[in-house]
Amino acid sequence: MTILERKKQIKTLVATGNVHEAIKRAMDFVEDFGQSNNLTNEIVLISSNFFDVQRLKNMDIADFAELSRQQNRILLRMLTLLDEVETMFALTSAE
Amino acid sequence: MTRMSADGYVGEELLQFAEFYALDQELNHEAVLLSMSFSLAQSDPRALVAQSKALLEKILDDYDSEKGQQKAHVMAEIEANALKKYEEVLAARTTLVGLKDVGKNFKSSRFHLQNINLSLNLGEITGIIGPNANGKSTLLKIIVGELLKDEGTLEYPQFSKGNITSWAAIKRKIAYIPQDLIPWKGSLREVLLYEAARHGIKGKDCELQVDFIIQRLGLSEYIDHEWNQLSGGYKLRFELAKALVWRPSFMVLDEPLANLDVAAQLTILNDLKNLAHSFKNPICVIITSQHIHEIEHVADSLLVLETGKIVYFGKPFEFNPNNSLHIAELSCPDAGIQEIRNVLLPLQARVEDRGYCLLIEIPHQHTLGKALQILLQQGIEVAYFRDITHSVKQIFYGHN
Repeated sequence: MTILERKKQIKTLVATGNVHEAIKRAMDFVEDFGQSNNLTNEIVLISSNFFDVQRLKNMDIADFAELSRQQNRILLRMLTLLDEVETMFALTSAE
Repeated sequence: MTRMSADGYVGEELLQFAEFYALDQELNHEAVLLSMSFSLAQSDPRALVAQSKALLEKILDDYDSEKGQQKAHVMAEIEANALKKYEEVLAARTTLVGLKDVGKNFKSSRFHLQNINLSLNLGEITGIIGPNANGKSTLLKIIVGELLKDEGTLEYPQFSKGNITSWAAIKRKIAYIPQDLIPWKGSLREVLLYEAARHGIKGKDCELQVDFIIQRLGLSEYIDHEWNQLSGGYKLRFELAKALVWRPSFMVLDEPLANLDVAAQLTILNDLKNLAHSFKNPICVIITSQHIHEIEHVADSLLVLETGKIVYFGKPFEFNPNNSLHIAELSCPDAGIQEIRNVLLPLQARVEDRGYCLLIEIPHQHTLGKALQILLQQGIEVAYFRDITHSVKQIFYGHN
Protein backbone atom coordinates (compact mmCIF):
# COMPACT_ATOMS: atom_id res chain seq x y z
CA MET A 1 0.00 0.00 0.00
CA THR A 2 1.36 3.42 -0.93
CA ILE A 3 1.68 6.32 1.47
CA LEU A 4 -1.43 7.94 0.00
CA GLU A 5 -3.46 4.75 0.23
CA ARG A 6 -2.43 4.32 3.85
CA LYS A 7 -3.48 7.86 4.71
CA LYS A 8 -6.81 7.34 2.97
CA GLN A 9 -7.31 4.07 4.82
CA ILE A 10 -6.81 5.81 8.16
CA LYS A 11 -9.33 8.48 7.28
CA THR A 12 -11.83 5.82 6.21
CA LEU A 13 -11.34 3.99 9.50
CA VAL A 14 -12.06 7.19 11.43
CA ALA A 15 -15.04 7.99 9.22
CA THR A 16 -16.57 4.55 9.78
CA GLY A 17 -16.13 4.80 13.55
CA ASN A 18 -13.28 2.28 13.76
CA VAL A 19 -11.19 4.79 15.67
CA HIS A 20 -9.10 2.32 17.68
CA GLU A 21 -7.76 0.72 14.49
CA ALA A 22 -7.33 4.16 12.89
CA ILE A 23 -5.06 5.28 15.72
CA LYS A 24 -2.96 2.12 15.45
CA ARG A 25 -2.53 2.65 11.71
CA ALA A 26 -1.75 6.33 12.27
CA MET A 27 0.99 5.35 14.72
CA ASP A 28 2.46 3.01 12.11
CA PHE A 29 2.18 5.76 9.51
CA VAL A 30 4.04 8.34 11.59
CA GLU A 31 6.65 5.78 12.59
CA ASP A 32 7.21 4.84 8.94
CA PHE A 33 7.20 8.24 7.29
CA GLY A 34 7.92 10.69 10.09
CA GLN A 35 11.31 12.34 9.89
CA SER A 36 11.81 13.11 13.58
CA ASN A 37 11.25 11.82 17.11
CA ASN A 38 9.03 14.84 17.81
CA LEU A 39 6.44 13.45 15.42
CA THR A 40 6.60 10.03 17.06
CA ASN A 41 6.24 11.71 20.43
CA GLU A 42 3.20 13.58 19.22
CA ILE A 43 1.37 10.51 17.89
CA VAL A 44 2.10 8.67 21.15
CA LEU A 45 0.54 11.60 23.05
CA ILE A 46 -2.44 11.66 20.70
CA SER A 47 -3.07 7.97 21.32
CA SER A 48 -2.60 8.32 25.06
CA ASN A 49 -4.89 11.36 25.32
CA PHE A 50 -7.59 9.78 23.19
CA PHE A 51 -7.79 6.66 25.29
CA ASP A 52 -7.59 8.60 28.55
CA VAL A 53 -10.69 10.50 27.45
CA GLN A 54 -12.27 7.22 26.37
CA ARG A 55 -11.75 5.80 29.85
CA LEU A 56 -13.48 8.84 31.35
CA LYS A 57 -16.38 8.31 28.96
CA ASN A 58 -16.65 4.67 29.98
CA MET A 59 -16.64 5.64 33.67
CA ASP A 60 -19.56 8.00 33.01
CA ILE A 61 -18.36 10.61 35.49
CA ALA A 62 -18.10 13.63 33.19
CA ASP A 63 -20.16 15.36 30.49
CA PHE A 64 -20.31 12.85 27.61
CA ALA A 65 -20.82 15.48 24.92
CA GLU A 66 -17.83 17.52 26.10
CA LEU A 67 -15.64 14.41 26.19
CA SER A 68 -16.73 13.53 22.64
CA ARG A 69 -15.77 17.04 21.54
CA GLN A 70 -12.36 16.57 23.18
CA GLN A 71 -11.89 13.31 21.29
CA ASN A 72 -12.85 15.00 18.03
CA ARG A 73 -10.22 17.69 18.65
CA ILE A 74 -7.63 14.99 19.28
CA LEU A 75 -8.61 13.19 16.08
CA LEU A 76 -8.44 16.45 14.15
CA ARG A 77 -4.90 16.93 15.39
CA MET A 78 -4.08 13.38 14.33
CA LEU A 79 -5.39 13.95 10.79
CA THR A 80 -3.42 17.18 10.51
CA LEU A 81 -0.32 15.38 11.74
CA LEU A 82 -0.68 12.80 8.96
CA ASP A 83 -0.69 15.58 6.36
CA GLU A 84 2.40 17.15 7.94
CA VAL A 85 4.20 13.82 7.92
CA GLU A 86 3.35 13.21 4.27
CA THR A 87 4.47 16.70 3.24
CA MET A 88 7.79 16.41 5.09
CA PHE A 89 8.38 12.97 3.62
CA ALA A 90 7.73 14.29 0.12
CA LEU A 91 9.99 17.31 0.69
CA THR A 92 12.92 15.12 1.69
CA SER A 93 12.36 13.16 -1.51
CA ALA A 94 12.41 16.30 -3.62
CA GLU A 95 15.75 17.46 -2.12
CA MET B 1 -24.71 14.34 -3.96
CA THR B 2 -28.43 14.78 -3.62
CA ARG B 3 -29.55 12.07 -1.22
CA MET B 4 -30.01 13.31 2.31
CA SER B 5 -31.12 10.24 4.26
CA ALA B 6 -30.09 10.39 7.90
CA ASP B 7 -27.87 7.32 8.11
CA GLY B 8 -24.25 6.28 7.68
CA TYR B 9 -24.62 6.16 3.91
CA VAL B 10 -24.53 9.95 3.83
CA GLY B 11 -21.30 9.81 5.81
CA GLU B 12 -19.65 7.50 3.25
CA GLU B 13 -20.68 9.67 0.32
CA LEU B 14 -19.50 12.81 2.12
CA LEU B 15 -16.10 11.21 2.71
CA GLN B 16 -15.74 10.15 -0.92
CA PHE B 17 -16.76 13.63 -2.10
CA ALA B 18 -14.27 15.31 0.22
CA GLU B 19 -11.47 12.95 -0.86
CA PHE B 20 -11.98 14.10 -4.43
CA TYR B 21 -12.88 17.77 -4.11
CA ALA B 22 -11.65 19.04 -0.73
CA LEU B 23 -8.37 20.73 -1.61
CA ASP B 24 -8.15 22.44 1.75
CA GLN B 25 -7.04 19.78 4.21
CA GLU B 26 -9.01 21.33 7.06
CA LEU B 27 -12.22 20.87 5.07
CA ASN B 28 -11.17 17.30 4.30
CA HIS B 29 -10.65 16.58 7.99
CA GLU B 30 -13.96 18.19 8.87
CA ALA B 31 -15.60 15.76 6.42
CA VAL B 32 -13.84 12.79 8.03
CA LEU B 33 -15.08 13.72 11.51
CA LEU B 34 -18.59 14.48 10.26
CA SER B 35 -18.67 11.05 8.56
CA MET B 36 -17.60 9.50 11.86
CA SER B 37 -20.48 11.27 13.60
CA PHE B 38 -22.88 9.73 11.09
CA SER B 39 -21.34 6.27 11.61
CA LEU B 40 -21.52 6.48 15.40
CA ALA B 41 -24.86 8.35 15.46
CA GLN B 42 -23.29 10.83 17.84
CA SER B 43 -25.77 13.66 17.22
CA ASP B 44 -29.23 14.44 15.91
CA PRO B 45 -29.21 13.19 12.27
CA ARG B 46 -30.95 16.34 11.03
CA ALA B 47 -28.23 18.51 12.55
CA LEU B 48 -25.56 16.32 10.93
CA VAL B 49 -27.25 16.61 7.54
CA ALA B 50 -27.39 20.41 7.88
CA GLN B 51 -23.69 20.49 8.77
CA SER B 52 -22.93 18.27 5.76
CA LYS B 53 -24.74 20.63 3.39
CA ALA B 54 -22.80 23.62 4.73
CA LEU B 55 -19.53 21.74 4.42
CA LEU B 56 -20.26 20.69 0.84
CA GLU B 57 -20.81 24.32 -0.13
CA LYS B 58 -17.52 25.36 1.45
CA ILE B 59 -15.69 22.55 -0.36
CA LEU B 60 -17.18 23.48 -3.73
CA ASP B 61 -16.46 27.21 -3.26
CA ASP B 62 -12.86 26.43 -2.42
CA TYR B 63 -12.49 24.01 -5.33
CA ASP B 64 -13.82 26.52 -7.88
CA SER B 65 -11.66 29.42 -6.68
CA GLU B 66 -8.27 30.35 -8.16
CA LYS B 67 -6.54 29.64 -4.87
CA GLY B 68 -8.20 26.24 -4.89
CA GLN B 69 -6.61 25.38 -8.24
CA GLN B 70 -3.18 26.45 -6.97
CA LYS B 71 -3.64 24.22 -3.95
CA ALA B 72 -4.52 21.32 -6.25
CA HIS B 73 -1.24 21.76 -8.10
CA VAL B 74 0.84 21.87 -4.92
CA MET B 75 -0.94 18.79 -3.51
CA ALA B 76 -0.33 16.84 -6.72
CA GLU B 77 3.37 17.63 -6.53
CA ILE B 78 3.63 16.58 -2.89
CA GLU B 79 1.87 13.31 -3.60
CA ALA B 80 4.04 12.54 -6.62
CA ASN B 81 7.26 13.11 -4.64
CA ALA B 82 6.03 10.96 -1.76
CA LEU B 83 5.16 8.12 -4.11
CA LYS B 84 8.54 8.31 -5.87
CA LYS B 85 10.49 8.03 -2.63
CA TYR B 86 8.25 5.24 -1.40
CA GLU B 87 8.84 3.15 -4.54
CA GLU B 88 12.61 3.67 -4.41
CA VAL B 89 12.84 2.29 -0.89
CA LEU B 90 10.57 -0.67 -1.62
CA ALA B 91 12.66 -1.66 -4.63
CA ALA B 92 15.74 -2.01 -2.41
CA ARG B 93 14.29 -4.76 -0.13
CA THR B 94 16.54 -7.77 0.27
CA THR B 95 16.69 -11.38 1.42
CA LEU B 96 17.20 -11.84 5.13
CA VAL B 97 17.50 -15.63 5.47
CA GLY B 98 18.57 -18.16 2.85
CA LEU B 99 18.37 -21.94 3.30
CA LYS B 100 19.83 -24.30 0.70
CA ASP B 101 19.31 -28.06 0.96
CA VAL B 102 19.11 -27.80 4.73
CA GLY B 103 18.46 -31.06 6.58
CA LYS B 104 18.58 -32.70 9.99
CA ASN B 105 18.73 -36.42 10.75
CA PHE B 106 17.41 -37.93 13.98
CA LYS B 107 18.82 -41.47 13.98
CA SER B 108 16.95 -42.67 17.06
CA SER B 109 13.50 -41.81 15.67
CA ARG B 110 14.55 -42.13 11.98
CA PHE B 111 13.00 -38.74 11.32
CA HIS B 112 14.77 -36.82 8.56
CA LEU B 113 14.14 -33.16 7.79
CA GLN B 114 15.45 -32.82 4.26
CA ASN B 115 15.93 -30.64 1.17
CA ILE B 116 14.72 -27.45 2.75
CA ASN B 117 15.23 -24.63 0.24
CA LEU B 118 13.90 -21.24 1.28
CA SER B 119 14.49 -17.57 0.77
CA LEU B 120 12.83 -15.25 3.29
CA ASN B 121 12.59 -11.51 2.74
CA LEU B 122 12.20 -8.43 4.87
CA GLY B 123 8.61 -7.23 5.18
CA GLU B 124 7.10 -10.68 4.55
CA ILE B 125 5.28 -13.13 6.76
CA THR B 126 5.87 -16.83 6.14
CA GLY B 127 3.49 -19.28 7.76
CA ILE B 128 4.81 -22.77 8.47
CA ILE B 129 2.05 -25.34 8.67
CA GLY B 130 2.03 -29.07 9.05
CA PRO B 131 0.77 -31.94 11.15
CA ASN B 132 2.44 -32.49 14.50
CA ALA B 133 5.87 -34.13 14.52
CA ASN B 134 6.57 -33.34 10.88
CA GLY B 135 9.50 -30.98 11.29
CA LYS B 136 8.06 -27.51 11.98
CA SER B 137 9.76 -26.97 15.34
CA THR B 138 12.95 -28.64 14.11
CA LEU B 139 13.15 -26.24 11.17
CA LEU B 140 12.40 -23.28 13.41
CA LYS B 141 15.11 -24.26 15.89
CA ILE B 142 17.67 -24.63 13.10
CA ILE B 143 16.80 -21.18 11.79
CA VAL B 144 17.17 -19.49 15.19
CA GLY B 145 20.34 -21.38 16.08
CA GLU B 146 18.91 -23.60 18.82
CA LEU B 147 19.72 -26.76 16.82
CA LEU B 148 22.58 -27.54 14.43
CA LYS B 149 21.75 -28.67 10.91
CA ASP B 150 23.36 -31.80 9.44
CA GLU B 151 23.06 -30.81 5.78
CA GLY B 152 23.02 -27.74 3.55
CA THR B 153 23.74 -24.09 4.15
CA LEU B 154 22.01 -21.42 6.20
CA GLU B 155 22.86 -17.80 5.51
CA TYR B 156 21.96 -14.43 6.95
CA PRO B 157 23.41 -12.06 4.31
CA GLN B 158 22.52 -8.92 6.22
CA PHE B 159 23.80 -10.14 9.58
CA SER B 160 27.15 -11.55 8.44
CA LYS B 161 30.30 -9.57 7.80
CA GLY B 162 32.15 -11.03 4.83
CA ASN B 163 32.51 -14.80 5.29
CA ILE B 164 32.26 -14.63 9.06
CA THR B 165 29.01 -15.73 10.62
CA SER B 166 28.90 -15.25 14.35
CA TRP B 167 25.96 -17.12 15.84
CA ALA B 168 26.18 -15.02 18.97
CA ALA B 169 25.78 -11.85 16.89
CA ILE B 170 22.99 -13.35 14.75
CA LYS B 171 20.97 -14.62 17.70
CA ARG B 172 21.01 -11.14 19.25
CA LYS B 173 19.19 -9.86 16.16
CA ILE B 174 16.44 -12.48 16.17
CA ALA B 175 13.28 -11.96 18.19
CA TYR B 176 12.13 -15.47 19.09
CA ILE B 177 8.83 -16.10 20.85
CA PRO B 178 8.55 -19.76 21.85
CA GLN B 179 5.29 -21.57 22.37
CA ASP B 180 5.85 -21.87 26.11
CA LEU B 181 6.42 -18.33 27.29
CA ILE B 182 9.03 -17.76 29.95
CA PRO B 183 7.81 -15.68 32.92
CA TRP B 184 9.66 -12.46 33.59
CA LYS B 185 10.10 -10.46 36.76
CA GLY B 186 9.21 -6.83 37.24
CA SER B 187 6.53 -4.67 35.65
CA LEU B 188 5.94 -4.45 31.90
CA ARG B 189 7.44 -0.98 31.67
CA GLU B 190 10.58 -2.01 33.55
CA VAL B 191 11.03 -5.06 31.33
CA LEU B 192 10.55 -3.04 28.14
CA LEU B 193 13.05 -0.39 29.23
CA TYR B 194 15.55 -3.14 29.97
CA GLU B 195 15.00 -4.88 26.61
CA ALA B 196 15.40 -1.66 24.66
CA ALA B 197 18.53 -0.69 26.60
CA ARG B 198 19.97 -4.19 26.20
CA HIS B 199 19.73 -3.73 22.44
CA GLY B 200 21.53 -0.42 22.46
CA ILE B 201 18.67 2.07 22.62
CA LYS B 202 19.60 4.75 25.11
CA GLY B 203 18.22 7.73 27.00
CA LYS B 204 15.22 9.59 25.62
CA ASP B 205 15.08 7.30 22.55
CA CYS B 206 14.66 4.35 24.89
CA GLU B 207 11.73 5.95 26.70
CA LEU B 208 10.13 7.01 23.44
CA GLN B 209 10.35 3.51 21.95
CA VAL B 210 8.86 2.00 25.08
CA ASP B 211 6.01 4.54 25.17
CA PHE B 212 5.37 3.97 21.47
CA ILE B 213 5.11 0.20 21.70
CA ILE B 214 2.95 0.35 24.83
CA GLN B 215 0.46 2.61 23.05
CA ARG B 216 0.70 0.72 19.76
CA LEU B 217 -0.15 -2.65 21.28
CA GLY B 218 -2.83 -1.26 23.60
CA LEU B 219 -0.99 -2.04 26.81
CA SER B 220 -1.16 1.30 28.62
CA GLU B 221 -3.53 -0.03 31.28
CA TYR B 222 -1.10 -2.83 32.11
CA ILE B 223 2.26 -1.09 32.30
CA ASP B 224 2.53 -1.68 36.03
CA HIS B 225 1.30 -5.27 35.88
CA GLU B 226 3.53 -8.25 36.49
CA TRP B 227 3.56 -11.65 34.82
CA ASN B 228 1.21 -13.48 37.15
CA GLN B 229 -1.42 -10.73 36.87
CA LEU B 230 -2.01 -11.25 33.14
CA SER B 231 -4.26 -13.43 31.01
CA GLY B 232 -2.79 -15.67 28.28
CA GLY B 233 -3.63 -13.20 25.53
CA TYR B 234 -1.95 -10.31 27.31
CA LYS B 235 1.10 -12.41 28.17
CA LEU B 236 1.61 -12.95 24.44
CA ARG B 237 1.02 -9.28 23.73
CA PHE B 238 3.67 -8.44 26.32
CA GLU B 239 6.07 -10.84 24.61
CA LEU B 240 5.39 -9.10 21.31
CA ALA B 241 6.06 -5.74 22.95
CA LYS B 242 9.35 -7.07 24.35
CA ALA B 243 10.33 -8.28 20.90
CA LEU B 244 9.22 -5.22 18.96
CA VAL B 245 10.52 -2.48 21.27
CA TRP B 246 14.05 -2.87 19.88
CA ARG B 247 12.96 -3.07 16.25
CA PRO B 248 14.13 -6.52 15.15
CA SER B 249 14.36 -7.28 11.44
CA PHE B 250 13.66 -10.97 12.05
CA MET B 251 10.95 -12.42 14.24
CA VAL B 252 10.06 -16.04 14.83
CA LEU B 253 6.88 -17.13 16.61
CA ASP B 254 6.20 -20.75 17.49
CA GLU B 255 2.46 -21.53 17.75
CA PRO B 256 1.48 -18.11 19.13
CA LEU B 257 -2.25 -18.66 18.63
CA ALA B 258 -2.46 -21.90 20.59
CA ASN B 259 -3.86 -20.50 23.84
CA LEU B 260 -5.76 -17.48 22.55
CA ASP B 261 -9.46 -16.84 22.08
CA VAL B 262 -10.71 -15.81 18.64
CA ALA B 263 -10.72 -12.05 19.34
CA ALA B 264 -7.16 -12.15 20.71
CA GLN B 265 -6.01 -14.19 17.68
CA LEU B 266 -7.41 -11.61 15.27
CA THR B 267 -5.83 -8.71 17.16
CA ILE B 268 -2.40 -10.36 17.34
CA LEU B 269 -2.40 -11.38 13.67
CA ASN B 270 -3.62 -7.98 12.51
CA ASP B 271 -0.93 -6.19 14.53
CA LEU B 272 1.74 -8.59 13.31
CA LYS B 273 0.74 -8.05 9.68
CA ASN B 274 0.81 -4.25 9.91
CA LEU B 275 4.09 -4.17 11.83
CA ALA B 276 5.84 -6.71 9.57
CA HIS B 277 4.88 -4.69 6.51
CA SER B 278 6.35 -1.50 7.98
CA PHE B 279 7.96 0.78 5.44
CA LYS B 280 10.77 2.02 7.70
CA ASN B 281 11.37 -1.09 9.87
CA PRO B 282 10.14 -4.09 7.87
CA ILE B 283 10.33 -7.42 9.64
CA CYS B 284 10.83 -10.89 8.23
CA VAL B 285 8.34 -12.96 10.23
CA ILE B 286 8.07 -16.73 10.50
CA ILE B 287 5.06 -18.09 12.30
CA THR B 288 4.15 -21.72 12.89
CA SER B 289 0.56 -22.60 13.57
CA GLN B 290 -2.19 -25.18 13.29
CA HIS B 291 -4.71 -22.39 12.66
CA ILE B 292 -4.59 -22.78 8.89
CA HIS B 293 -7.34 -20.38 7.86
CA GLU B 294 -6.11 -17.59 10.13
CA ILE B 295 -2.53 -17.92 8.87
CA GLU B 296 -3.65 -18.09 5.24
CA HIS B 297 -5.25 -14.68 5.63
CA VAL B 298 -2.21 -12.99 7.08
CA ALA B 299 0.81 -14.71 5.51
CA ASP B 300 2.56 -13.59 2.33
CA SER B 301 3.77 -17.14 1.74
CA LEU B 302 3.05 -20.58 3.18
CA LEU B 303 5.34 -23.51 3.79
CA VAL B 304 3.74 -26.88 4.41
CA LEU B 305 5.84 -29.69 5.86
CA GLU B 306 4.98 -33.36 5.84
CA THR B 307 7.30 -36.11 7.10
CA GLY B 308 10.19 -33.66 7.06
CA LYS B 309 9.75 -32.50 3.45
CA ILE B 310 8.26 -29.41 1.86
CA VAL B 311 5.01 -30.35 0.13
CA TYR B 312 4.08 -26.75 -0.70
CA PHE B 313 5.84 -23.40 -0.65
CA GLY B 314 3.98 -20.53 -2.24
CA LYS B 315 1.36 -17.87 -1.81
CA PRO B 316 -1.80 -18.55 0.20
CA PHE B 317 -4.88 -19.52 -1.83
CA GLU B 318 -2.78 -20.62 -4.83
CA PHE B 319 -2.56 -24.27 -3.80
CA ASN B 320 -4.44 -26.31 -6.39
CA PRO B 321 -3.18 -29.85 -7.07
CA ASN B 322 -6.62 -30.94 -8.27
CA ASN B 323 -7.26 -28.63 -11.19
CA SER B 324 -10.34 -30.61 -12.09
CA LEU B 325 -12.15 -30.32 -8.74
CA HIS B 326 -13.80 -27.81 -6.45
CA ILE B 327 -13.53 -28.84 -2.80
CA ALA B 328 -15.44 -27.58 0.25
CA GLU B 329 -16.06 -28.32 3.90
CA LEU B 330 -19.72 -28.58 4.80
CA SER B 331 -21.79 -29.08 7.91
CA CYS B 332 -25.56 -29.70 7.82
CA PRO B 333 -26.65 -30.67 11.33
CA ASP B 334 -30.12 -31.93 10.40
CA ALA B 335 -29.28 -33.85 7.22
CA GLY B 336 -27.58 -37.22 6.91
CA ILE B 337 -24.74 -37.87 4.51
CA GLN B 338 -26.90 -40.02 2.21
CA GLU B 339 -29.51 -37.25 1.89
CA ILE B 340 -26.81 -34.79 0.89
CA ARG B 341 -25.33 -37.25 -1.62
CA ASN B 342 -28.76 -37.70 -3.19
CA VAL B 343 -29.41 -33.97 -3.35
CA LEU B 344 -26.02 -33.23 -4.95
CA LEU B 345 -26.13 -36.18 -7.37
CA PRO B 346 -26.85 -33.92 -10.40
CA LEU B 347 -23.49 -32.22 -9.78
CA GLN B 348 -21.66 -35.59 -9.65
CA ALA B 349 -20.51 -34.63 -6.15
CA ARG B 350 -18.43 -36.91 -3.99
CA VAL B 351 -19.28 -36.55 -0.29
CA GLU B 352 -17.13 -37.94 2.53
CA ASP B 353 -17.67 -37.85 6.28
CA ARG B 354 -14.56 -36.44 7.98
CA GLY B 355 -15.84 -36.48 11.52
CA TYR B 356 -16.45 -32.86 12.41
CA CYS B 357 -17.60 -31.95 8.87
CA LEU B 358 -18.31 -33.37 5.43
CA LEU B 359 -15.92 -32.95 2.53
CA ILE B 360 -17.52 -32.40 -0.86
CA GLU B 361 -15.77 -32.58 -4.22
CA ILE B 362 -17.40 -31.32 -7.38
CA PRO B 363 -16.09 -31.53 -10.95
CA HIS B 364 -14.80 -28.25 -12.32
CA GLN B 365 -17.63 -27.73 -14.77
CA HIS B 366 -19.98 -27.16 -11.81
CA THR B 367 -19.58 -24.59 -9.05
CA LEU B 368 -19.70 -24.70 -5.26
CA GLY B 369 -22.15 -21.83 -5.40
CA LYS B 370 -24.52 -24.08 -7.33
CA ALA B 371 -24.08 -26.83 -4.72
CA LEU B 372 -24.93 -24.40 -1.92
CA GLN B 373 -27.94 -23.15 -3.86
CA ILE B 374 -29.28 -26.70 -4.34
CA LEU B 375 -28.90 -27.52 -0.65
CA LEU B 376 -30.76 -24.40 0.39
CA GLN B 377 -33.51 -24.90 -2.20
CA GLN B 378 -34.06 -28.40 -0.79
CA GLY B 379 -34.58 -26.84 2.64
CA ILE B 380 -31.39 -28.27 4.10
CA GLU B 381 -29.93 -26.06 6.83
CA VAL B 382 -26.27 -25.28 6.21
CA ALA B 383 -24.43 -24.48 9.46
CA TYR B 384 -20.96 -24.25 7.93
CA PHE B 385 -19.60 -24.01 4.40
CA ARG B 386 -16.03 -23.21 3.39
CA ASP B 387 -14.45 -23.36 -0.07
CA ILE B 388 -11.00 -24.96 0.32
CA THR B 389 -10.29 -25.46 -3.39
CA HIS B 390 -7.14 -23.34 -3.11
CA SER B 391 -6.42 -23.81 0.59
CA VAL B 392 -3.54 -25.89 1.92
CA LYS B 393 -6.08 -27.44 4.28
CA GLN B 394 -6.64 -30.03 1.55
CA ILE B 395 -3.26 -31.52 2.41
CA PHE B 396 -4.63 -32.52 5.79
CA TYR B 397 -7.43 -34.37 4.00
CA GLY B 398 -4.94 -36.28 1.85
CA HIS B 399 -5.23 -34.09 -1.27
CA ASN B 400 -1.72 -33.27 -2.50
